Amino acid sequence: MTSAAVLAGVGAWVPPKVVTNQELAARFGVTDEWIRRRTGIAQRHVASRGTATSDLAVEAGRRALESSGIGAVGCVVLATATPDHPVPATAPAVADRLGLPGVPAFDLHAVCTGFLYGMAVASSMIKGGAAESVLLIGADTFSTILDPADPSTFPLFGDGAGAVVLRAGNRSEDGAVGEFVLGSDGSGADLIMVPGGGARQRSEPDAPAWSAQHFTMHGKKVFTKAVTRMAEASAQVLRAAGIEPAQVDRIVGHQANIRILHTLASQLDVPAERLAVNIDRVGNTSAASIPLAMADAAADESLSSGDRVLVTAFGGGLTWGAGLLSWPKVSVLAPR
Amino acid sequence: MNTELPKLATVLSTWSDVEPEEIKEDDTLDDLDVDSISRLELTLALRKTFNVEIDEEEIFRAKTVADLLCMIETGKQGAASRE
Repeated sequence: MTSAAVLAGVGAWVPPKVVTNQELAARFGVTDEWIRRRTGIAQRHVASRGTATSDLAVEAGRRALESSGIGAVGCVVLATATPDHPVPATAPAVADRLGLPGVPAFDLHAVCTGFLYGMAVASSMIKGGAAESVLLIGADTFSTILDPADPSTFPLFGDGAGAVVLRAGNRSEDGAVGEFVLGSDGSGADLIMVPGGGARQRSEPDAPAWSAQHFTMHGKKVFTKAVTRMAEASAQVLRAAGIEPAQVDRIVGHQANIRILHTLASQLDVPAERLAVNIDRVGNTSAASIPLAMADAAADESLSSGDRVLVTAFGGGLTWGAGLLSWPKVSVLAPR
Repeated sequence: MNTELPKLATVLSTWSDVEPEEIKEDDTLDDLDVDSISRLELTLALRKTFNVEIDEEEIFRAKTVADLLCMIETGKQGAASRE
């Protein structure tokens, strides 16, 4: 009998083009060291012209399917804030290109928390019997919504995709996914936003300014809210599972800023060495962040079979969440 | 001396090379290498250490260690009045 969703495979992919801090330093009148010290980011991968979110999602999805050994999954969920088109959803096209025609496929939008929300949804679908297995992909191409002249956002983000395959199993298995704590606060919607391009703006009589299509973020407020919400959700999920923070082997947190991650570890009283970190190489990849960090950590063997893993994220909405899983024995290709 | 200074000085020494026992009330946060991102980290550290509600905007207005002590005191009074 199914008592849990079990992580059966993981894969990730980033586009080959790399933009280093040195390339941005001159444009923004800062130094590589200044960006690193404030964010932990040394470089980010950026999609070339003509490459869209689905292209990244297909690559990551294919790798996760290979890693799982499950040829045909029962559902495809794509967490993204940068779909290929406003209509239709991107997931059906991804499913089709992966050779999975006919399966249910839908997008899920919770910005940087999207993958975590997707894990909760996919896990519930499996436990409820709606699907035997789910391919869950987090993919974003933030380079398509960033203002290249904005020093407060442009250096922070990279493009990428990560994916996992979840299957029906039982809670005593390595890979078993536990319960989730999810939350939102729409009163903070304006803190992380692309103001234009949606129904709100289209409902207005005046034509939108192009600048309103760019991503905006109030960094100061987001920093403290991100740490606070992730720490609270993490503490709540640990309490519910009867686990002390010291018993967590790895934290795979949303890779938004190394200093957010370190402050989160400090708030939870977990040593910073237990953080999975790849932000230095990929920046903030939004919905791709957690599965990409999982794939990187598994590829360099800093995630091992049986590890108790805390996952937590915070993003636009505002949205946040945390969950627990045990890491399975999986083979993972390096994401690049 | 403010009784919370030693605890606050220990928190502030996270960002500074100055030893906690050498930190004084009239030291400025700039003296202690508390830059803008550090002020955000400091906001969260003070909330945890002193169990007080402090807004990041208040921390950005603080110039000296004494200003922080004043905020902690006000925060504690606010917490007490809510109980």
